[in-house]
Amino acid sequence: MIEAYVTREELRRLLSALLVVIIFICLVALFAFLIIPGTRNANAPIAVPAVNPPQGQTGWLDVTEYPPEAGYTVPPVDPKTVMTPTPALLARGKVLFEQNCVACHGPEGHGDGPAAKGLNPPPRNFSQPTGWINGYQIEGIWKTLQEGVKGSAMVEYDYLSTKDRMALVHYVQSLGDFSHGPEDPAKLAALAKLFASAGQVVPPKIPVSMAMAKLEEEYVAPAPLWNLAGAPALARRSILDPARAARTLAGLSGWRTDERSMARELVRGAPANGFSPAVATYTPEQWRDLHSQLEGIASP
Amino acid sequence: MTQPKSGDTFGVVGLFESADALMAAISKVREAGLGKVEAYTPYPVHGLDKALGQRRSPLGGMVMIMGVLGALTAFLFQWWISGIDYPIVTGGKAPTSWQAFVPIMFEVTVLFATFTAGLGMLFFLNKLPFFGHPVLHAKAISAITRDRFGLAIEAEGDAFDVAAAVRALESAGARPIEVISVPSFSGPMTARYLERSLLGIAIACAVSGYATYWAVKLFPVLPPTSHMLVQPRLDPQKPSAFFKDGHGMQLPVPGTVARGYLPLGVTSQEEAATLVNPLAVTQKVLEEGRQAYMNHCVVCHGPLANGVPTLTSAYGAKPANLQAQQFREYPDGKIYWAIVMGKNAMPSYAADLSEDDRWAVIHYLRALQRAQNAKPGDLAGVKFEAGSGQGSEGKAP
Repeated sequence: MIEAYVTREELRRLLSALLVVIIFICLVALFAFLIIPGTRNANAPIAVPAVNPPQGQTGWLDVTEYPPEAGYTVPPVDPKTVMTPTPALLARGKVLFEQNCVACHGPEGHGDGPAAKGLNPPPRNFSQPTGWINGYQIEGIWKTLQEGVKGSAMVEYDYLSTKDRMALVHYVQSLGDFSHGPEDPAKLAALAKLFASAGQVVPPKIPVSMAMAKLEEEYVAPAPLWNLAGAPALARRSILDPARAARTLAGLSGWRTDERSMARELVRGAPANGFSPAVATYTPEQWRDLHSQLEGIASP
Repeated sequence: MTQPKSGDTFGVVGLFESADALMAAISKVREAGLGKVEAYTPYPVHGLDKALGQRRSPLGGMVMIMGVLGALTAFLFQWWISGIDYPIVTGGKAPTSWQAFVPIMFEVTVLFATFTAGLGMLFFLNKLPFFGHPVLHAKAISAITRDRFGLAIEAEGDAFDVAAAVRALESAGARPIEVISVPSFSGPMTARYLERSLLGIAIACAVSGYATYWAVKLFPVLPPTSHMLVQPRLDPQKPSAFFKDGHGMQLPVPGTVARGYLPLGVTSQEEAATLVNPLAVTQKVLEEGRQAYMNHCVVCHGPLANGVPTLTSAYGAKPANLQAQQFREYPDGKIYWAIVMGKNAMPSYAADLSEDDRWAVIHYLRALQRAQNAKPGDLAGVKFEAGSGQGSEGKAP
C-alpha cells in the first residue's frame, strides 16, 4: 500500500530521520528533567512558599539594620519608690544581677564568678564588709554603678535605667549579711533630689549603615602635605605614607609648639601613622630639623 | 600491505571523456573478468562504487560496535571501582548509583568511536601505510586530476593478460590506454626509508640514554653535579673562612627588628590614649572594619556592640557593653590598646587583626556607637513607620 507513495529506500530514510529527531527530543527532555524543577513531578509545587526570615535580636534579618527610632526622656523617678527595698525591686535586681554581674561577682556575690579568675584586682565579695572602694552604703554602690571603678574591670552601668540601677543597689546590699548603715542623710537627700529632678534621656537610634554614612559625611579629611617632593631629605626619609602622616599630624594637637611631645607621639605610632620606624633612632638635633621641616610642609 | 616489486606490471589504465562514458564502460570491463577493476576520477561520481561492485563500507558498523563497547567498558570500570573494589558513599547515594557514571561513559564512547573511525578508515579500509601508488607515477594521472576519468584493470597475481586488458578497455571506448608498471621507489616516502629512520631514532635514544647513565655513574662530580660535602659552609669546631672575625653567625645590624615583631610603641593604655587613628573615615574603611568586627568581635560584644554576645549563654564572661558612656568617651588609642593587649577576660587580638584592621574596627565601633546613641539631628528627614519610634513611652522601663 505505502509503496505507492514512497519507495522502501525513502521510507527507511524518513524513519531514520525520525529516529534522530526522537533521540534529540529525548535528550532535551532528559536535560529538562534535570534542570527545570516543574518537569520532574507534575504535582510538585512550582512556586516556593515564602519563608519567614529568621528573627534576629531586634527582629530584623540583619540586626544592624533596624528602623530609626526617636529619642525620648524617661520621666523622673519618684524617690519614694526606689530609696527603700521592696520585694518588686529586689526581684528586678535579682534578674539584672544574673544578667550583668554573675559572670564576675558569682551567683552568691562572693566574687567568684567564672570570669573572675583573670581579674586583678579581683571582683568585690558582697558578703563581706571589707574592701568596698566607694563604701557599701546606697550612695556608694550607686556611685560605683554610675562611674565604674577606675583601674579595675568594673565598668560603668549608666546604660541601665535609674530604677534598674537602684534595684541592683538594693539587691547587692541584700547579698551581704551585715549592717549596711549608717547612711549619710545629706548624700541620700542629694540622690533623691537627683532622681526627682531629671528624667533619663534615651538617645535616638539610627541603623548602623546610616551611622556609617553620617560619620563619613562628617569626617573632615585633613589637607594633604604640600610640596613633599621638594622637602628636605630628612622629611622625605621620615615620611613613608604622606596621606597617613597628614592625618596623624592633624590628630596631634599642639605638635607645632611642643617638639618633644611630637617626637614622642610619632615614635609611638610608627609605622602605622605614616612615619618610618627609623624615627625612633633620631637624635634631638634631627628631631629639631624634622620639626621645622614638617611645619614647612604641613597645612596650617 | 606489502609493496609490489618494482618493474612488475601493475595494471592497464584507460581514459574516458566523461563520467557517463566511464559508467557505461565499467560494466563491460567487469564482465571481461581480467582483474580488479578500479576507477580514478577527478571528483566523486554518484553510483560509481555500486557500479564497481564495491561492498558497503563497514566503518559505520565498526564505529557502532566500538562505541557500545566503550560505553560498556566505562560503565563496568566505574561500577567495579566505585561499587565493588572500593565502595565510597558520595553525596548520600548508593555506591553503584549509575547517574554519576554517565559523563565518563559518554566520553569513553566518543573516544572508542572516534579512534575506530579514524584509525579503522586509515589502516583497515584504506590500507595505509601504502607509499607511492603506481597510478600516481603514470602519465594518465595528470589527465585524471584535471578532467578525464580513468578506468584501470589491475593485476591480481601473476597471470595477468596485459593484451586482453588493453583490448577490453579499447572496446569499451577508452582513449588513450596506458600500461602501468610498478615504479622503482626511492626517497623519504618509502617504507624502507621510514623503517630505517625509526630504527635510527631508537638507536640514538638508546645510545644517548646509556651514555648519560654511564657518564653520571662514572663521573658523578662533573659540574653542575657536586658532592654535598664540598660546599662553602661552616664546619663544626672550625673557624669561618668567610667572615673576618671567624664567627659563622653574625649579630644582626643594630636596630634590626624581626619581621612581624615590631614592638608596640606604647607601654600602657594611658600612653596609647594619644595615638592617632591613621585611617580616614571612608565607606571602604568602615566596611573593612565591619568585616573584621563581624569576624572577631561580634561573638562577645554582639552585633550592636552592646555586650549582648552572639554566643550568649555558651560563654561565662560578661563582655563589655561598648555603648556605655565610658567607652563612647574612650580615645581611639585606648580601644587600640585593648585590641592589641586584651583586657580582663578578653585576649589579645594582635595576631588576628592587622594594624589597619584594628584601626578600621575602631572606626566601625564609632559607627555602632553613633547608631545606638544618635544625635537628635540625625533623624532629620526620617519618616517613621506607624507604631514605631517617635515617643514610644511604652518602651520606657
